[in-house]
Amino acid sequence: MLVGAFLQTHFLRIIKFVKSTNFMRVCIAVAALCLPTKAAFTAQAETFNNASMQQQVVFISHPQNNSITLSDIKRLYSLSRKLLPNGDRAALAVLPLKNKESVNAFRFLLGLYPYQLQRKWDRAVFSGKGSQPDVFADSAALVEYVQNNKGAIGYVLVADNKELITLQEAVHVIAIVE
Amino acid sequence: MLSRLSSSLISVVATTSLFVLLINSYSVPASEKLKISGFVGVGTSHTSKNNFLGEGKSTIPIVEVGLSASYEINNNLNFTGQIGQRRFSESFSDENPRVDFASFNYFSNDLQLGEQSISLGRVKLPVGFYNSSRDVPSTRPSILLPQSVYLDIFRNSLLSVDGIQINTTNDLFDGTLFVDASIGSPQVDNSFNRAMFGSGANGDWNIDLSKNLHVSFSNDIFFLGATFTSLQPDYRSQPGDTIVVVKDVLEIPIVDGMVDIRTLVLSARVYFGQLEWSNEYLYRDIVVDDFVPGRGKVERPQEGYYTQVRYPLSDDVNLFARWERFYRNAHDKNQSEPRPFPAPLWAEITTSVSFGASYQLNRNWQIAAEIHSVNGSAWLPPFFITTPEATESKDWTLSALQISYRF
Repeated sequence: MLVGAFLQTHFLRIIKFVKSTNFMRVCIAVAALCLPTKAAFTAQAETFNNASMQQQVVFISHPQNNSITLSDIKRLYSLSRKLLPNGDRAALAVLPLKNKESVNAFRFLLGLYPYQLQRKWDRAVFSGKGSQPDVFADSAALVEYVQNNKGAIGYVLVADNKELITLQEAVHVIAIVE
Repeated sequence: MLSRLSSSLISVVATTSLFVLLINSYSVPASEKLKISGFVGVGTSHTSKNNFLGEGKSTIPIVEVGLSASYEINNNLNFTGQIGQRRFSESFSDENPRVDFASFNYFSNDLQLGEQSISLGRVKLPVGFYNSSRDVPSTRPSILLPQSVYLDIFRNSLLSVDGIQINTTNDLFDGTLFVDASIGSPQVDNSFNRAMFGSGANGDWNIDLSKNLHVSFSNDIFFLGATFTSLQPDYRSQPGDTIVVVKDVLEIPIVDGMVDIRTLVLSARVYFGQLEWSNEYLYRDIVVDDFVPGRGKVERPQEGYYTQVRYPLSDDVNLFARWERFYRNAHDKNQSEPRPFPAPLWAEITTSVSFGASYQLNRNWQIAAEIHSVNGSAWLPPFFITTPEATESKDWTLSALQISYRF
């Protein structure tokens, strides 16, 4: 009740303020508010990318599923498809969404922040149109799962060529994302 | 009769299947074949005037709960089900826990034309951007959906149908074309009575068949969609049923009747980087037949539209702003026709401006708050009349706060 009254009091003041100014002033105020935030956020993202320049996200699948493309992965992780091109049911594996691997993978693949992706998945899951991907605690567990499950796809971060070669021996590498 | 029998059968099968799946999930380690998910949303809302939330206008709780399961039977077949309940005011609550959906779904890409699926059982209806998961806090832009398009008065009849659903997802011009056709019987409970008539009616609604067609195209830059829904709710009155115009003063007896409702929703969304600009338009053609002796057929189409901007300040914080307008009688936007019941002019048109924010505490928890500045009372229940409780004030505000958990 108190919260409602508080919000309403301040909200009415804001509405009066908006109505008392012209449209351009409001736009300038919004732009002034948003641009520094956006600039700060972009700067943060670039710093993050520079820090991880040596590392690459690698999308992987079970060794027998070697015809999957990046477009297929995009549709599967957005839960608009359930089947792989060969007709197998896709088994999606992910690392915790806040991990660096997940942030990089899904920003590249779908242009989404982890929680935006989670909401997209929730829409599919809670309307009966999809299932949550399986979450693995670390890369080793995820690679082992992909290696042993037909239909499994996932992603990991590799630091150098040695790691990449080791990975290629265990699973099929679909794409390497800079 | 047939639809009631099928509804009962689906409820029993769905409840048993979900129960077995849940027991199974506790007795054996969770496998990739069985997935259990759920959500709980608890919140509060407050209106300054008018009765959107009920006869008592003070703080009203919002409770939304759902438990969902999916089980992969084989490569191409699965079962999905969800039990849920929403408690929100006198007009928009589920009377009892409800089987939200429960269906066997078959998928195939044998045609080499994208992916096709066919579902049998109780299925959700994809109407516009949000209808299929409208009760799930984490999937909405706001606690209250834009009433200009997602009018809560009709929520009960649009949630899901017992029948068949066929859809296809195809690649087209670097995007995805999605077509979904559903036909079946919607399930409504007594709260639909309250939303339609107010507190004086206790008859039964029967909707034999609802037809729904949804077509959309989306890519990384935009989404375009259109949904057409047709349903004819049929009302069987009880002795003593009335529409309460003024409580204890003026009550109009009602008899059996039918409402023919055909709804078109057009949806468009554009992405500017992280900024999401959504627009939807609704035209609902409504023909009311009988109900009030001597009234005959009355056509009163509704029209609504909104524009909404949603922007993530960061991964955790989302902001939205929305402007919307709704006409209770789209044939009479200038308000020149005589109206069936006395009411102020602003009871026919509503314009509102809404602002809100949500904060994602972690993957599971979210807190959201919003405020709506409303001018007019056209989207207030009940549907059939304008009551004094709904027309206290032309300008009013609605605020809501909700914390939710999903897993």
